[in-house]
This record gives sequence, structure tokens and C-alpha cells, in this order.
Amino acid sequence: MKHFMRGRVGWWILHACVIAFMLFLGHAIRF
Amino acid sequence: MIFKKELRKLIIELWLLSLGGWLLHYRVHPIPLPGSPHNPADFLPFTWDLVAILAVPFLLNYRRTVIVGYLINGIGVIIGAVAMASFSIAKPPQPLHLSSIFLATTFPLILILNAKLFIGQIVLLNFYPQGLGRVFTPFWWFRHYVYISVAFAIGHFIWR
Repeated sequence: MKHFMRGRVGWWILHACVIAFMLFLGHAIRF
Repeated sequence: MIFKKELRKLIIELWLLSLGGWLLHYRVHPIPLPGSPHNPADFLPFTWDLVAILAVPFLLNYRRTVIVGYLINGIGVIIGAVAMASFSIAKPPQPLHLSSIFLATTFPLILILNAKLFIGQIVLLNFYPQGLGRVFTPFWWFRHYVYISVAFAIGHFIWR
């Protein structure tokens, strides 16, 4: 995992996933 | 005992906080039955806390997986804080004054949730006493608090 995060591809995959998830949550959660 | 001796108390503390949060969420908004109208916000803490209760203690116990558990724990804290803050902003307490902002919103719950971030940090420092360079420092977490809040706000206000 440490190497995955240090690697360029792993870093981008992780960040793309988190950003997409947060955009979706902001869109989906309506109180 | 499955857990390492030096980590046992920390992991149990984290587990108790997660279990308490899970039960508290279940009391506030039980997950709806299939077919009934629901809010995705009802499923998120239920499933995330289930992972935090069942998987994260074991992930934090081993050097190979500690970073995965640490990240699930930390990102869960940030998402929980952002989602609960957005709930309080969408439905502010009435009447709105200084004491109700601190006591009648989700502010106290966000403070309790943030304790998990610091416990995770102690567990990580147990495996990497020198830290991991420029990642996972307090400033790194602060920056990611801001980034994740911005991504949530963009999804909320622009993607409608």
C-alpha cells in the first residue's frame, strides 16, 4: 500500500476515486 | 489475543467509538426497508461504520495493511464531519443563537468523531515512528479536510 500510494498511477487512481465519491455524495445527499 | 499487545487498547478504543457511532446513527435514522423512500445519507454511515467495526481493527493490526485501515478511518472521519456539518447547515436549530449553534447542532458529534483521527495517528506512529515524510502529517490532514469539503460542495451546488 505504501508503494502503491507513492507510485504515480496509484496516487492518481486513489485521488480520482475519492474525488468522484465526494462529488457523488455532495450530489446525492439532500437534507 | 489477535491484536498486538501495544496496539490492543488503541484498537479497542477505536472500535468502541465506531460501534457507538453506528448505534447512534441507527437510533437517529434507521436504514429504510427496500422500496420505501430514503436518503443516501441513511446508508452511508451504516455501511461505512460496519466496515470500521468489522475490518478496520484487523487492518490496523498489521504493518502490511495499517495504511489501508488508517486511510479508511481518516477519510471516514472527514466524510462524516462534512456530511454532519452539511446537515446542520441545511437544518439549523430554531431559534438560532450562540448556545444552540454549539449544543443543538451536530457540532458535539463532530468533535467526538475527530477523536478517531488522532487514535489512528497513534496507531500509525507505532509502525512508523518517524512518520511517512510529508504525507499523514497534521497539515496534510488539514489540507485534505479542505479538499474533500470543496469536492462535496461542488457536487452539492453544481451537480444538481
